[in-house]
Amino acid sequence: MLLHIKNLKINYKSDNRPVEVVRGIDLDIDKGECVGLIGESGCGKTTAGLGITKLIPERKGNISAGEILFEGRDVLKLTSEELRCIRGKKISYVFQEPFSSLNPVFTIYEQMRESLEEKDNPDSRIAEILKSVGLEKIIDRKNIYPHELSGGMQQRAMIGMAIAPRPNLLVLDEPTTALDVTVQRQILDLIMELKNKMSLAILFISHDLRIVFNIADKVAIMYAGKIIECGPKEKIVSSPAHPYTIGLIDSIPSLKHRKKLFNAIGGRAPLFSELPEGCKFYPRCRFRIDKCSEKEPELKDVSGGQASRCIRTISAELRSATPIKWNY
Amino acid sequence: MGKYILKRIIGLVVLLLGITIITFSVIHIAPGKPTDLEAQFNPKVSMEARERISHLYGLDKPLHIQYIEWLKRFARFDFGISFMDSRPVMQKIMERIPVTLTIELFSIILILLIGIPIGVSSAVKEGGFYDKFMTVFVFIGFAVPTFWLSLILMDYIGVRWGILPISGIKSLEFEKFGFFEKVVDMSKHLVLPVLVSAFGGLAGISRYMRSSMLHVLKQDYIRTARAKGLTEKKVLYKHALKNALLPIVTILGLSVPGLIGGSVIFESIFSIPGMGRLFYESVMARDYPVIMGVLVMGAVLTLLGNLLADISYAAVDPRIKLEDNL
Amino acid sequence: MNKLTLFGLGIVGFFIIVAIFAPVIAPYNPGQIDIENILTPPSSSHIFGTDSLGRDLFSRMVYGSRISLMVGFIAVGIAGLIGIALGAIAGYYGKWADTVIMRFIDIMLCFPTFFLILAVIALLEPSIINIMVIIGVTSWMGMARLMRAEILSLKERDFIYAEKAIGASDLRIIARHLIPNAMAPVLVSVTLGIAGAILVESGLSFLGIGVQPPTPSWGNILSEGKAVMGAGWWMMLFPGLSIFITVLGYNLLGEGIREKLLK
Repeated sequence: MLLHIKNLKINYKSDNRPVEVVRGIDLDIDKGECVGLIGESGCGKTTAGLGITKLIPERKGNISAGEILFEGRDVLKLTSEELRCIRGKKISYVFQEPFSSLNPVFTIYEQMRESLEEKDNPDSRIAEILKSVGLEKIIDRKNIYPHELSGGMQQRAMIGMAIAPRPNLLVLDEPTTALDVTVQRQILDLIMELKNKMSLAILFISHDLRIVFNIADKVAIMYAGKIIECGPKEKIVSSPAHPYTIGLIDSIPSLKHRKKLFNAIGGRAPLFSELPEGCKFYPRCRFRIDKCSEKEPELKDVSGGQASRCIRTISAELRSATPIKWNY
Repeated sequence: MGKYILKRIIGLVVLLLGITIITFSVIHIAPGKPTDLEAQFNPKVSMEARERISHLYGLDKPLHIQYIEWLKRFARFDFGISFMDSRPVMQKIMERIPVTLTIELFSIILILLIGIPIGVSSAVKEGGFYDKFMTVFVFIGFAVPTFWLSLILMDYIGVRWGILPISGIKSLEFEKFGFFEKVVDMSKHLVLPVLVSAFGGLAGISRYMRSSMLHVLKQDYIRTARAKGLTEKKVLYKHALKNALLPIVTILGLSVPGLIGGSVIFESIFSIPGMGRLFYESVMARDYPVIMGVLVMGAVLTLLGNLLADISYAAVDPRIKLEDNL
Repeated sequence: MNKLTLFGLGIVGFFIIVAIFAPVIAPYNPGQIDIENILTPPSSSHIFGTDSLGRDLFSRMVYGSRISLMVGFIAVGIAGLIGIALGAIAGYYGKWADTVIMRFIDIMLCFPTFFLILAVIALLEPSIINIMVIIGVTSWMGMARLMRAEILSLKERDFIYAEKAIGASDLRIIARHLIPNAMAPVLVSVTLGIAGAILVESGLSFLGIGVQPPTPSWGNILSEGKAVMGAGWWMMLFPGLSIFITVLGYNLLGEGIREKLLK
């Protein structure tokens, strides 16, 4: 096991009292495995990703509980010096907005050089990386700045910076969301290629099911700070067990079933400061029963590695028989 | 770069014309003619001098002709002749500018050397004791009148403790000194004026630096720098600082008129023969040609300061492409 | 409200009360010369001491607060009127009106303000009214810019379109709808501007080109203090401290308003 996260809880500071935005998640990533973490914006998925190397700024929040075992060592118990040897060396990140994630006043070359391992020769290694992320064009242009590149090229540079130190785990936080659709495809292909070539483990964080289903081996779906369903990709695609996952899958517009209604999950994700009692998805759930509001369900196995945080078993018949409610 | 500077210069010419119009209007705002005022306030002015001024301003001609004539002289930096000692105004001003600029330059350096570290460290320790202490210090800095501060420093450091000279820029026996002694003597004379001149700007720059740094620290690229595993030192003093420093260049440019205006106060208190004191003396003596000359030159220096700031900004910020933008 | 803002409000309130009730508070006539008691240090009969003409410093300080207050408020009032009007016109009408006004502001900002004020004073006479007017007409530029920026963003809002649709006149839209809604940042600027005007007035009076003796102002008292440096510390301490505290008060209040209104 490369990464083993157990019961991770993260609080954000707010005006009066801290708000728990990651409310105890478990997640395992094996060597060379790609795990997709899916959720609506504001469900805590980005925070969870940052939490892996304690990247949450102190003024914003802190990790309040849990264990993060990376290669057998608990990241949360490391000194800041030891932590730095993991950050950007063994675990590296690519963020959503390449333009704002690159420092505008330093050249791409300089920013890439900072990510290299000491043993590497900067010029040859950077040329090698640029080639592998499809930026051959700027190999000889040491004085090029981020704003001179297109969004797609900027993201390629970010990915290059991330893989430069030959990490074991790559955390990709919505790496294609800010890009044009055509460019998205290219970047995903690049990620897949690098993953296979370098046998990288990847945590792919996204709100977009289709992208995650394309790229991931395993999928975990987050809602209101907890994982509500997880399992092998194929199982989740073919037989989602949690009503939220079902809703998400039903929302994907389909070319095959044109007549099918465009399904959406009604309502809005709850605010962390006013989470409902019991199942957090209860108010938006079309399969809900009274019992759902009593107690937040545990994550329990469904079959073959798939687990769901729902007290009901939602069969295909029930799924097609239950109408979608639009107003809640 | 050339095109950018050319565009800036055209903008400057427009501003310069505006400056001359305002200055010209200021002369004509006064109830009655400058010549009358002159005779009224300054008994030294003879009939002959009055005619000379009348001729200088072309007061018998229509207003727009007067302005154009005045502009023509201005283009040659001919501001006429001082009432007080009949010397050309421009010559008097040029003698005084180096002293003022030297003091301003030193105080700007001092402001940067002290203000930037204060601002940066407050931002890094936001909300902590040090930050709060510095906030209070900054508010005090904004509120202390420089003339009062000058008096206190004069009274204690100069008069009571006799540590530093409090008047002029050189000692009486200056001419007898060797080169090294001359430098020391002048430096000693400049300490208090530079301190006082820097004091007001210090509060502003450190406050500005603090908010600039705080803004930068919230940016995504700082998170990227941390995620790369860089040391906190590198994150703060390489990645954040360079970005936070950029707007300071503009602020420095904008603070030029304040610094020049402030020179009136500390130069007259410390009897420093600079432009501010010249202006003060001319105001007291109602020496119009000099007043107008210094007013225009003060504005011109401000313009130059702003231009310098813009060009430096463009030079340090890679995002500004001088060839095609602006 | 935060403690510093309250502190600022307290200072401002205190000096306003002192200025209003000056005749009641001052124990002596501020102009009353007493040759027997020249430059006496603070004592029970003269709590701030006396000046070089034996006048009671405390009484002069109390009356001086009227000058500071008056100059501060009226100068900023003038600056506010000009700034708000020009800023609103520039923002609302745009096009050439905007260009002309903004260029004019750029030009005005080129002049070191203190130079401009001194030059005008040299032409006019340094009376209190002249000083207030001069400070006012040389310090409106910041407010105009703020006003313009606010109006620019406000005028695209729905309620303005609604007003236009029912045929409201420009003047009505500007005066009744735009300006009141754009006042928040201007208010901050006004508060800080009062501090600035008080500093400028006292600086001018200190240099002898502001409020003329025998009318007491904090600046000209400090100037007398300079003349007797070393022989009468109280002549330097009290006026300087009063200017400092007053300016601090308005600055703290301004920052407090900024935090409250603009967050």
